[in-house]
Amino acid sequence: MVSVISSVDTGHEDMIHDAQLDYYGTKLATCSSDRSIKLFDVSSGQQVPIADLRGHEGPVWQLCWAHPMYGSVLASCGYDRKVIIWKETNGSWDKLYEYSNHDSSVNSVCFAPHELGLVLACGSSDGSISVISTTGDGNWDAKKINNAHTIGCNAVSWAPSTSPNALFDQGARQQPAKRFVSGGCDNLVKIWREEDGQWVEDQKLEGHSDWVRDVAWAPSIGLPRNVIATCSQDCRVIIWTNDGTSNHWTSRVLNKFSDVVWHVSWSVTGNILAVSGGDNKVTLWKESVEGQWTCISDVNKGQGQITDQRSSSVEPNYNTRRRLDL
Amino acid sequence: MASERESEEISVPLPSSEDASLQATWGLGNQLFVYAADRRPAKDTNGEGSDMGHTQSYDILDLRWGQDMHGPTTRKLINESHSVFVMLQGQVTSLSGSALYNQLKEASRQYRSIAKACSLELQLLMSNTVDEGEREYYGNQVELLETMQIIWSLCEILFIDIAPGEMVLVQLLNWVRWHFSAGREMAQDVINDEIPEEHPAYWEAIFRLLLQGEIERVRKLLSLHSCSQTQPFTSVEELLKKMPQWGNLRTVSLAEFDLKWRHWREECMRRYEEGHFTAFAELERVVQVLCGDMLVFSELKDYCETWYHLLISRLLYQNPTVRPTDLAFHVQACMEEFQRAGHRMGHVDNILQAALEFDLHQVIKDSSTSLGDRSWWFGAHLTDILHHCGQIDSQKLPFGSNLREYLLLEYVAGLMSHHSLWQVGVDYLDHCPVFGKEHMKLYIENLPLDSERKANKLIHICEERDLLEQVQSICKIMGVRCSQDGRLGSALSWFLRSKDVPAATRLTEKFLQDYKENGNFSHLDLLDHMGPTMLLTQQLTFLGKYREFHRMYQEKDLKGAASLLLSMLTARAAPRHFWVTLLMDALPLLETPQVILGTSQTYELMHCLEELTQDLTRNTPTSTTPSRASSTPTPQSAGTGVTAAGSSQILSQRDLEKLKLLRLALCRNLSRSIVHEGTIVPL
Repeated sequence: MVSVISSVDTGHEDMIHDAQLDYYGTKLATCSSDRSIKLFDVSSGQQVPIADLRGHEGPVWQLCWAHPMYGSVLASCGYDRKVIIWKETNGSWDKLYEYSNHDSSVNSVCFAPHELGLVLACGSSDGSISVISTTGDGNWDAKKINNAHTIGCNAVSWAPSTSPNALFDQGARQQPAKRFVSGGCDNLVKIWREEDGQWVEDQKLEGHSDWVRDVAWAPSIGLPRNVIATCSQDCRVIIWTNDGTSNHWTSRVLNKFSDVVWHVSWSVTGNILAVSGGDNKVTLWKESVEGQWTCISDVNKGQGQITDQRSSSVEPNYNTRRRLDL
Repeated sequence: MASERESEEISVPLPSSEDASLQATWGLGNQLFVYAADRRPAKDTNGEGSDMGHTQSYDILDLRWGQDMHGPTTRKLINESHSVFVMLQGQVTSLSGSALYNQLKEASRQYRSIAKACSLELQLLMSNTVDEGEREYYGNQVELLETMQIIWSLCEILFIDIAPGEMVLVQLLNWVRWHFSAGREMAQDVINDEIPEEHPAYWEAIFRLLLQGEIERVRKLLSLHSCSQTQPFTSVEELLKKMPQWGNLRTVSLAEFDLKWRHWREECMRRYEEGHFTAFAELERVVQVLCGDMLVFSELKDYCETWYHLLISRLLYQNPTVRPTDLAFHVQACMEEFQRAGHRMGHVDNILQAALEFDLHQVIKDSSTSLGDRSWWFGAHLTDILHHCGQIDSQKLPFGSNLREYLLLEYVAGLMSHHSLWQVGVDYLDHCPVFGKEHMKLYIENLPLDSERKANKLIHICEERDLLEQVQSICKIMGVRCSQDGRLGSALSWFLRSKDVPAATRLTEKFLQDYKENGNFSHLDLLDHMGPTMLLTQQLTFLGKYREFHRMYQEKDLKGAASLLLSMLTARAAPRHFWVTLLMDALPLLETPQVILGTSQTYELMHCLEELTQDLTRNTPTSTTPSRASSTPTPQSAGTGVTAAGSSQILSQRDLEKLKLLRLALCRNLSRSIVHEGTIVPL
């Protein structure tokens, strides 16, 4: 049974573009066209506003939380060509660093796995991708990949740091792989790899026939394989897989939707992919025991009601048929 | 498997609009945050907020599933089955053969009784509540739990508790008796009646009991009839008494039993055909049942309530020695009886049919898809037992492991999002050989560390499982958090625990800085009990030694304190910026009535002092300008304070004064020690 536990009124004055939970699911950050970022404490089931971060001079597109070992750190990017890294100290949120070395809107931010340090990648409409890092002494370093995607880069997503075949040949490779995937207006998906301190193109994956809107590298679950989900304005979601050792990537169209697909994201253990698109739906896709991807849930707007918190043991009444996949 | 399904549709209470599309963000486990986002992200165009804000909702919905077992009552089901599961996994590794087999049967029964207990508790809650919604909720839960038990018991009979050479029907009879108790309850009412035979349910009770093979009870009811002494009644009584019972004839083989039974049935038929019972229509029907008459079963099917009860009843009187594998041949006919009467076959019917047809995969698959969320509980635990019984092939499936692990992982996903049930989830992951550990790592990274206790618990869990990276990560997070809250002592102990050299170094510097500013130490207990952990970094070793120096000084071990101080300086263990402080600490030792520092020690101190002053004057030639000199004792910025020994340092006027004093004291001490030691004898 699916139930809506609660509803957060974000108080934004314009469209929300992104909402991100911190690692522990206790803080929710939202950003909007109203140029603000809002933070809520959602740990108690209630939503308590924590902060309202002002600093962007245009719509804020995307947010990303850093690993808690770096403290409470949040990155945001926006139309104002800026990436801002925010940090909480003693309950107050301040700018830790501002990066403004892009010539156009910055569309996507993503923190690298914590094993790599406090490292962030961001993709911009100017076609370039920056990898920003700090050693923790207040100094920041940025490496720019120019012309990563012609016309613009829409999304970036890091590879998990655990080498995908850790389970099978333990101790073989201790150095965590530094890789991320990006998608852009050139209809391409590209994988980047750091080599001798420089970022080089590792793979160019061709499969989409229109702008790539989002990319998501699946978490590693110990199998010797890499999995990436991408979605595009060509209405398709593609699942790319790689055996973890070769350079060969296989693509499989998850589904052709009736409208543009804006976002794809993996659950914590990578067993379910959430897809949201212009068809006004969020669909959940799961790999069955047979290795087939099937849609298990279809979330759409309608006349649902919110469960009364006080009787949380009572199931809500707008549940529909339950269907799970084997 | 996939194509035959349609997906579950969930409607969320967000206003529908042309301009916005739904977007989702993952929580931990089975949780999504859903909100309406700009349909055209406009990243490419002007990006300025469009003025379509009029009808928009800026709400974010917290959506969860697989949580309905997390109520206070059903949580017991989770916790109790958890203990059974963990114990069973231990037995699977330590036992084998029949010993293991007995434990598997035992575990299966325990799971069922846990479900039963939970169902009873919910029934009680249901009868105690007046709230309509709650009643409905409890009612649904009870129904679900009862359904699970029906399926589970049948699977137990067919796949787990298989008694070779036995009549499967005996167990199946017990199965229907357990789940259909109306006949017994009716009989009780009838017996309690003053004139039992006039009770409206007299004959119904008899038929219901007869259909469940409750012969003794049937005889009891018949004996209460006023005509019980008449010939037809005594004839039936005789037939019932003679009916071969497997339980009483355990010493005979199935074939012998079959023979006895055939003889008995022939006698029933003979007496029926001779028309012994025509005077009593109902009595005649009883005999028709005994004869296994097809038609009478159709007439009585409503007393069976379900096709599977009818199936068992019919087999009892038509083919009691039926082999398990032949059960499937009789299923269709019984289902049709009910379908003709307008009954629709539902999920449960399909699952039971699959079980009777020995299609275990179908049973598990259908239970998981149609039994609500608790199906993961059901599927995971039942499959685990079936797996250990060797009833399910343990082959690797395309997703990477076997069916058992797949279901266990699904079950865990529901537990992990709960604030306390995650601990149960951890134990289940331990028994997922392929993915358990990696899933554990991913979950652990996302479990909130809301208290030191929880952090310690998690560390313990990780250490037990050799997840050292996760231990380090937790310690680091806790350390960072403590140091941000200004709890430096706790922070340091976390960093020491994770052997985090850079963080421990930074923190040690902070301690030293604090000391320079305030002249005393905080967190004495920590510093005094560092033990060998102080060797982690040079700074920390120094800090520990420095604290030891203070203790010696306080304990009036001045000689010891002096030589420790000297060794800290001469071994260059102290950070250079701390030298002024150290040298000043020597001052009181030089002013004591008796001589503490000998000539050679005094020389060494003088050497250190000289080295420091030269160093400082070389690096900061303008440091003694009046404007600087007016500043307070140690206004060094944290930046300079943090950098290690040898770096430039600005010396205040006051420090210079201090050093002058020290130089004087050293000279005086030198002369005193010379006299004291008598090294230079005056001419």
